[in-house]
Amino acid sequence: MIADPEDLHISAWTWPLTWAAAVAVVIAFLAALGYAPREQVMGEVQRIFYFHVSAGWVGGLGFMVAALCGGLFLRRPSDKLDDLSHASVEIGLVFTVINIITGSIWARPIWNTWWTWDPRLITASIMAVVYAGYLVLRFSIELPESRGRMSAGYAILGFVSVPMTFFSIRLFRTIHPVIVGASAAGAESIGMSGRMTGTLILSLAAFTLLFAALLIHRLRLSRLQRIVEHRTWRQLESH
Amino acid sequence: MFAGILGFNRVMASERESGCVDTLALAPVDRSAVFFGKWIGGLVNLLLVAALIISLFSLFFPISMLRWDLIGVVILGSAGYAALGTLLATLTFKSSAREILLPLLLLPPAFPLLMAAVQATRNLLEGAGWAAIATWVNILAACDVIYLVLAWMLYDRLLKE
Repeated sequence: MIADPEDLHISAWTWPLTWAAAVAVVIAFLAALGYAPREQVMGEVQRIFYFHVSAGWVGGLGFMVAALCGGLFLRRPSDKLDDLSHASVEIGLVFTVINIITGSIWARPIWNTWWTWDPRLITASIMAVVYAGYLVLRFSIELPESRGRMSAGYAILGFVSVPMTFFSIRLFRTIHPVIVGASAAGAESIGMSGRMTGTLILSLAAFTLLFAALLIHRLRLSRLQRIVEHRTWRQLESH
Repeated sequence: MFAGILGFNRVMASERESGCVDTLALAPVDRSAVFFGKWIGGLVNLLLVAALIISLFSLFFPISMLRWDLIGVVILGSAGYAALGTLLATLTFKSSAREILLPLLLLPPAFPLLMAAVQATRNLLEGAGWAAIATWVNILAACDVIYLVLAWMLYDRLLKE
């Protein structure tokens, strides 16, 4: 039997968004490798910066969406908000891990180490652990109703770690470069040329599109999951 | 000395974990009142442990820990820790794995609290003045306010059946 799109819950936005994200990411990739100039001091390895910052941004964005949906869910519970919150956390977590890994790759030649206990690195890994905890918490609550409520509460509580990570390099003495906004005295900042800024904005936009595309696919999956869950409950009841 | 303080924070952690979960099956009366009740209970529990540890320390080490500034740090640290513990205990109490889950979920968000408390305590014991620990005390106070307000706002919705 061939299922039609209606059954599979593919929305009108699914494929256009997917293609737009794919094209945008490829363009951003080419721009980071070709269009952006070579950084004077750090050389080629600095090019990872565009994707590093973008991945960090998507991480924060995902957790913000999750917290907002969590808040709305607690006001008026609905499956959609719960799924949205869950999907955002999952995507945000993946991108936070990408952010940490790319940062580590950059740090190896620049700081001469894969890892150091810098405030930014600590807060970023705490953030990752906090949201990994979200998935564990969610997984361990069986009743869908309380699962949604507790997850929503936790998504709001966990969001405390996001501004903490963002501001850690602005408040403490750190070796992590500050790109956006004023930095604490002594922190290093990168002077970016026009082409660099352009590439960064392009790759931020591409990653945001990618986030939206992944979100729409993940939401479809959650929807199908709920249908299966519902059928299983009904079958159990009829026995 | 530093290890001793870390140990003392760990004692607080285990106390907190065992203290809160069991009491949570209570029926809600007025929800934010329930939260503050549990919070005060948790706080008193923590402070008792802290008082015991502080007196033992003063007894066995040639450093007096019965100082107002130190007690202030302990109270600030415990207040935030109790708020976070109470909130997380509530979030996990429907979970099938709550005994394992609570410390797992509690420690990462508690990290800034523990860090600030440990640093402030260490600086005080090394003879630094109040001005030197202002940053850490500010972090402690900020965490306290954030966790307390969050818990207070969320509690009503979370306990709804």
